Amino acid sequence: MSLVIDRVGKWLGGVCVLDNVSMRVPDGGLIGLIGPNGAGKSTLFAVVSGFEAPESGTVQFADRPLTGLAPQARARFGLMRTFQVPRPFGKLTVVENMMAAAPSRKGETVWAAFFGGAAARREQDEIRAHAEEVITFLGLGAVRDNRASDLSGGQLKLLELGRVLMASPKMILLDEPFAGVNPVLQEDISERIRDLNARGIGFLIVEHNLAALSRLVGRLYALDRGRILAEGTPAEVLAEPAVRAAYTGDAP
Amino acid sequence: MLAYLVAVAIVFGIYALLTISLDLHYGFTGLINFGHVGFFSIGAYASAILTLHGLPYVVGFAAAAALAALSAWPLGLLALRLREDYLAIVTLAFAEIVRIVITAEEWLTGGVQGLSGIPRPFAGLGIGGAAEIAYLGLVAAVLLAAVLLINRLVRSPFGRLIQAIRDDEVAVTALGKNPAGAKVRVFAIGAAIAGIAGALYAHYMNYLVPDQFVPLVTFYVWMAMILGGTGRIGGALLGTAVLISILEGSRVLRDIFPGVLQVEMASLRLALVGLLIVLFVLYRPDGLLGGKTKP
Repeated sequence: MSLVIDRVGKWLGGVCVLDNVSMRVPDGGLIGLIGPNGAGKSTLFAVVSGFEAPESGTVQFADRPLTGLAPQARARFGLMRTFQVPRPFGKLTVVENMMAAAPSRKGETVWAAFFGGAAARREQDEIRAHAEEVITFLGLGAVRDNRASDLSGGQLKLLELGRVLMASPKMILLDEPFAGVNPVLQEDISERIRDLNARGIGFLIVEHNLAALSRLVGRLYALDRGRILAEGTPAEVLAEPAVRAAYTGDAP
Repeated sequence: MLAYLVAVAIVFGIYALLTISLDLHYGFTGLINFGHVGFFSIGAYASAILTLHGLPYVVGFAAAAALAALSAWPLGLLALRLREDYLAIVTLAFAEIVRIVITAEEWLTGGVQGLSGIPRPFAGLGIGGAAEIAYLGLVAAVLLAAVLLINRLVRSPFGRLIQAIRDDEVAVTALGKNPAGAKVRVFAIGAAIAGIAGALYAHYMNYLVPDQFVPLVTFYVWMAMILGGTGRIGGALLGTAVLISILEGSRVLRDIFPGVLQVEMASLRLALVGLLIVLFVLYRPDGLLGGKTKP
């Protein structure tokens, strides 16, 4: 279940956003991706998750090439993503958000709404129980019946993570899980990520909070202007002159 | 007076069917449908033409629902792959095309002359009001069935899915689900209900002309839905009641503004509805049944 990004190139409006980017997230890995604004991190996520098609290169997940597959298909392989700006189902409650995220074989059809019978009910009961587990795990119990649009920024980050967990992911692409989240909750989210990683879920995490990310991941990639600048342990990567220069804007 | 109230109630029931089905499209699924009158007219003409050829009412109503749903299907497949604002344009154009086709195809629809002598169920009960009341009973039964159907649908897992699509379609996609299939289905179901509303309208009016199916009908239905609050079946019913009250109540406006001519009354009535919408947008953007929001 490893993710292999091989020489991916992407142009947007005449600008090269990704220039031969190669990365590897091993099965069950916990990898960080850093880079200044405009480095191409979000575009890379969009390419990997299927929302954008690359001009060159390939993305493989679990030894399967993902070229040409829609985002839905990639998610169903267990390669799931969250969004930098959370995308809650605003008018639904937290529980409903979780339940709506669960894959449903029998329940989510017009037919089942009227003639689903016991099988569809049983499936929904299982999904509800799973949703309660996820909500408890993430500590969202107090707001479980609130509308998602009423949640705080940090709670929305947890909601996004929770929805992804409902679909039993193999690997999660997390887009800025700490952005706009208070330090206490940041530590909380880190703890949950470690916990999930220990259960075998792989993570690729984009994050601007370098301190929090360095404490969390064992390995970092640094991206700038569409190129991989450095790769290694957080200490190695952050000591790299080119990486420091990219952040400060100085020439290396 | 009773006859008048029964007539108003029948019109309410027909409009309520249009409003709840539009609410299923927009309020629950986020589909911007500016061509609801198109499904309404297809249903009206389908049932009228078939019953004029001697077929039973059941066939007329079934055809009204089926043809409206069938017309929604390709429309949905086309437009639902595009961004949502395109659906608004496509449906608006669709309803106008339907009206123009109805106007042009005289051999089938009577063109601008329209169709007259459309039979009405229960007409045999005489003109003493019993026939009208029986027809109101039919409209009420159909409305009740449609309310129960939509209610069941939106509270089901499928209903949760369409509301998730309404709130954030990209997130639904990222979770591995396919919004297009659900949207096409909802579109067809809502269209079928609008088609049945059309059949009820045709048999009630006894005659049909293309001018009854102008875009204004769609916008009245939108107004009713917005007034009541989107995404709530009760809101759609209440909003329809308010709309019908204004449209009917403005008849008495002539007594208040005696100098106003008959033709100017229609404009005055529209201005009144427009003013109401502006006030709602300012003070109750979520509709009558929505929460109170600060302006």
